[in-house]
Parts: sequence; C-alpha cells; structure tokens
Amino acid sequence: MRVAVIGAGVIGLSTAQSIYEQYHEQVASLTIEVYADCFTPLTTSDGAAGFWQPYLYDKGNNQETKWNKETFDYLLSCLRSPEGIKMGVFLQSGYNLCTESAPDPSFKDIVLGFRQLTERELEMFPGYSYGWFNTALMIEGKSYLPWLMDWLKQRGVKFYHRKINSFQELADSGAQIILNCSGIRSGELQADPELQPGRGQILKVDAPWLKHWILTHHFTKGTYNSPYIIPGSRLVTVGGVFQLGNWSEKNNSSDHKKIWEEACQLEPSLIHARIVEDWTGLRPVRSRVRLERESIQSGPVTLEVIHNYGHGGFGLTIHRGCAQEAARLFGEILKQRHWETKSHL
Amino acid sequence: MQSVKVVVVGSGVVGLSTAVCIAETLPHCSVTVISERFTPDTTSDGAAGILFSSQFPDIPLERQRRWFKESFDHLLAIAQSSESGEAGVILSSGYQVFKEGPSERPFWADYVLGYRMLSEREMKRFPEHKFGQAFTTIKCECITYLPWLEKRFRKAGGELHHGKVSDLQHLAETYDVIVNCSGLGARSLVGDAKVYPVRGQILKFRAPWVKNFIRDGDGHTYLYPGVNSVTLGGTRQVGDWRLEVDTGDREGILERCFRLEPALHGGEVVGEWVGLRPGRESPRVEVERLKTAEGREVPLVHNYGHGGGGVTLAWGTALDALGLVRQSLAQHPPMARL
Repeated sequence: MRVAVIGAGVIGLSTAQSIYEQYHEQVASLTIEVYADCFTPLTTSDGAAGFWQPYLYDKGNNQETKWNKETFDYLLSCLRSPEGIKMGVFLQSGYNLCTESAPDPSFKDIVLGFRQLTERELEMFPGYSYGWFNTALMIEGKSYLPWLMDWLKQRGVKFYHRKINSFQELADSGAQIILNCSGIRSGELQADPELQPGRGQILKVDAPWLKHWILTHHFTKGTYNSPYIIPGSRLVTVGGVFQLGNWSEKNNSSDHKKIWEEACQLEPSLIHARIVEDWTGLRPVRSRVRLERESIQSGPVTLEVIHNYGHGGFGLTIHRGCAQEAARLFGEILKQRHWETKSHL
Repeated sequence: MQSVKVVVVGSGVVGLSTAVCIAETLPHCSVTVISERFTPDTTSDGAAGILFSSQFPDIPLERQRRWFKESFDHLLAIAQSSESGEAGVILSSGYQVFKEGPSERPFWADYVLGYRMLSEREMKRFPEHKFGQAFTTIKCECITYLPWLEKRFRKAGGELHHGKVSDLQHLAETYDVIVNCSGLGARSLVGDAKVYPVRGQILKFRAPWVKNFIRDGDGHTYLYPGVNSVTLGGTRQVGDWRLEVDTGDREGILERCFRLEPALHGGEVVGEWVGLRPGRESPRVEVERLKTAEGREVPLVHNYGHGGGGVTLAWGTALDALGLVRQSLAQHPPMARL
C-alpha cells in the first residue's frame, strides 16, 4: 500500500507520523512517501515563533478547538519524556493584553493556570486595560521538524525533494492514497478561492533577559496585526503583521519599522536587543481548516485524497489533532476500499 | 557648608544599595564605599537573586513587609524600564511546591504579582509534592546589577575604594558617618557572634528553554532561569565556612533538580560556585554611636545579616539605613574633625 504525502511542513510530517503510528501494523507493506519542494529549515512552520495559541475565539468551530486541545495535551505529555526538548517543546508563561475588556478565550481551559491579569500587572502595560496570564507551550519548528523527519526516516518513510504538479502525477506513479498537506500552495494543485495568504513578517532578536511571551489584541486591527513578543529557546520573535492577500515573501522595511517601534513601546528593554534577522512567511489562511476526503475520478481509477491544509496562523497549535483526524479518514478509506487486512494482495 | 563624609563598608548588594540611597538622597554628603571585594567577587554576585522572603522572628511584621515592598517596587520599576537587560533585573514567573506543611499565605504574597495556589492539574507535574504556589517575581542578577549600581553611585558623586577595613575606630577619625554593610565580615569587624555563615553551593546550567523557576518549599532544591543560565541549587549548611566546591553537593543538586524539572535534560553545566550567606536570626538595621580615642563620636549605622535575603531586602533595608543616617545627622550634627 503506497501513501504519498505532499508537503513537509508541520502538517505533512505529523500527518505521516499519525498514519504510520496507527496503520503500520494493520496494513501490509505500508509505504509512506513525503514529497515536497521545501524542507526544514525553509518551510513556513520553521519561521513561525512556535507558540501554541489558537485565535482568541473559535466562533463556534468546536471541531478546531477540539483539535487544538488534543495537540496541547499531546505536547504536554511529551514534556515528561527525554524526547521533549529534542522536539523543541517547552513551557513558557505570558500575557495576553487587550485594549478593552473581552470574553474569556476559547483556550482558557486548555492551557495551564489561566487567570485574569491583576491591576498591578496591567500597570506594567500602558495602553492595555485588560488581559490574561497563563502558561502555554512552545513548539519550535526548527527543532520539531527535524525531529519528525528523523522519527519518520527511522521507520522507513521516504523523502523526495520534488514539486508535485498534480494529484494525477502521484497516482500515475502508484500512490493509492494522497495526503494533501501543501499549505499555502494547495491552490496550485486544486483551485481553492477560500485559501489566501496571510502574510506575516517577524524580527528575530537577541534578548535573553525576556522570559515571558506578550501578545496584544486590538480588536479593530485583527489577529496578529498588533505587536507580539515571543521568546524562544535561542532568540526572541517580534511581530506582527497579518496582510491578507499579500503574496510577497520579501521582507518589507516599513513593516520592519512598524513592528520594531510598536514592540519597543510594549517592551522598552528591546531597545538594547540586537536584531539578528527578518523573516517573512505566508500563513495559509482559510475560513476553516480543510480536513476532508475527496475521491477524484480519473478515468477508471478513483484517487483517494485527504486534504489537510488551511491552518492559518495556528498550524503548530492544531497539527496533532488534525493529523490524528487525517489518520482517521485514512482508516475510513481503508475500510471502504477493503485495503486494511494484512492478507490483502 | 563642608560636606558630610560618609563611609560605607562593604560593596555587596546591601552596601552598594545603601551607598546609592545616601549619595542620591543627601546631596550634602560625600559617600565613599570601602570594600575588600567588589563585583564580580562578592557573595551577592553568585546569588540567583530571586525575590521572595522568609519571615524573621524578631522584626515587626510591618517593617518586614515594608522592606520587601520597597525592594520589590524599586526593582520592578527597573524590570519594566528599558534598562531591564542592562541591569540584569527581570520578571520571573514560576512555582514553589511543597511536600508537606501548612499552606499559609506568606506575607510577601501581597507584593509579588499574580500570587495564587496551583490547581490540581498543574500539580500533576509535581507528583512528589502536595501543593504549590504560582507567582511572578523579580530576578535581580548582581553580576550585572552591581556594576549598574556602581555606575549610578559614581554618577551621584560616590567613590569606590579597595581596602580591608578591620578597625572602625580608625575610620571614625576620617569620616562623619560609618555605615556597616560588611555582611559575614561583621562577625569579626564588630564582634557580632550572632553572625554565622550559611554555605550555599550552586551550579550554572545552560538550558535556555527553561523559562519558569521551580523551588521546593524546603529551600534545598531550586532552579532559577536567569539571563544567560539557569541557577541550580542548593545547600544550606549552617556554620560551614568552606568555599570550595563539594562534589557530593553537586551530585545531590543535579539529581534533585532533574527530578523537579526533567526539561533540564539536554542542558549542560557551565559553572559552579560557592557562597557564604551572612546568616543571622534577623538582619541588624540600627544605629549606635561610636566613640574614638580622641573623644569624637560618630554614628555607626548597621545594615548586615540578611542571610539568603540580601538581594530581596537590599533596597528596603538601605532606605531604613538612609533614614537612620539622616536621623543621626539631625540629632548630632557632625563635629569638626581635628
């Protein structure tokens, strides 16, 4: 049984992992192949700060909240194992700041120690009158992706550095089930007007005295369009912008200026931080994550495709829940097509 | 008016804080710090510098609360300013967990930020412990803070002199006010037998992904993430004067810290240090009059004996010492020097 995964960002790799975990014993000679024209450290997942936090409100999308929770709990359990730090997973506390009072976010019961900010804490952030404190997880792509690739390679998963131009191309070469984890460029495989880039630019700075993440929320400006400061294991990620429809992957100097000035206002000590580099990435934004099966008729053959893309700015946050769901859909296909027993030819 | 000559003995966090308070507040005083050791070689330099306190038996609670609050507010302002990284004064969040004992709310809970008890879910992370506290406090790293204070002191006109003081009488001939911040040295300098060393050994550990501190309420195991390394500790050996590293202590610290925070795996030891806390039942912050052989009388303000709470209480006790200096000068204007 040959399975092809398109995309080697966090979604592609974790999907391959979940499928392997759940089916390598059930399915005779399960071969998983990952195809991508871009691998760590050059994927969108690598540039992201690596901070687990969904958007404040899920707007009734309980499914995504469930996947976010599944991911958090999974990563939390990884902390106890020695693999934890190799995976790039660690805990960090911090502040979500709002310019006005707001309902509690959808993730309040998922994270650790969620509480309102006290008066004295708010005094530390002029311009913000409300907010929350909690401990959340960091999941750094630059460590997590190599760890996933090693995990997969050790289990015989093959990697191909190649751009895939159509699902047909893979089907022609013998793939029976295709996992479409191609992120922002899914539109090149199958047009999707709902998928748009949410351009983000960040600065990486050296400021090791910062030990908390700080996210600000201006409800008129929109998610990620107001300053955030997220210390990592090595450098601090400073952002942000969220420019819907902007496909430019080049660093922009006026974005840089705006980001830097607003961040220094939020955290004055940044003025002494050394700026190491800028990075631009395109969040694969969609009204909701596309995580579903599609059977594509191609002549006499039916291609089985599982789409798993459109995770916006929360790919790392939701990846495990989605990967497990993709694996569940995979199992559905196996049952329907009678591919699951070991005795299958 | 001829300026009043003040000398501060000792250049650890208490001495420098006191010197800065006096130099900045009393413009008619010229302040000199005399010390055998300066940063980075003082006891303060090795301390992790996390602010929180134990309660002293003989000092009125109101005074202790004031000491803590004033120190905390002073350092919080630095942590919130652009100088945070330059001074090495940062916000630090974390946990104190207990295996046993009553869970009373400590007095400093009112002054740190966001103090609360840990939930059951959070306690799952500490299977060997029964309950815990979470809060955000300040970490003040003297290795950077003391140079920062020295700069501030010099800017206020202060002078730093290297020298061992063994005779306060001699100092009284030259200075109008003596402020004794000699820490453990007070045992011999002023013959205070109530001062004793409390030996502490720590390791400096590189694990920059550890962002929250964890302390065992028994005070023997702690990990405090700092700007460039995590301080792992510790020991509390009363009456122990050894300044050499003890390998048994090192093994014990590593073993206990790794149990408390498995995320330390993957890190590495980058340094080791031993310091002697200037232990005393309570800090001595009071004034007496010192008579010289010639009959001169100078106020002698004591500010020593902070044990493991030097960084925590330096500013608050410095302000008290400043008050005592002022009070003394008002009551007994300095006599002319012969």
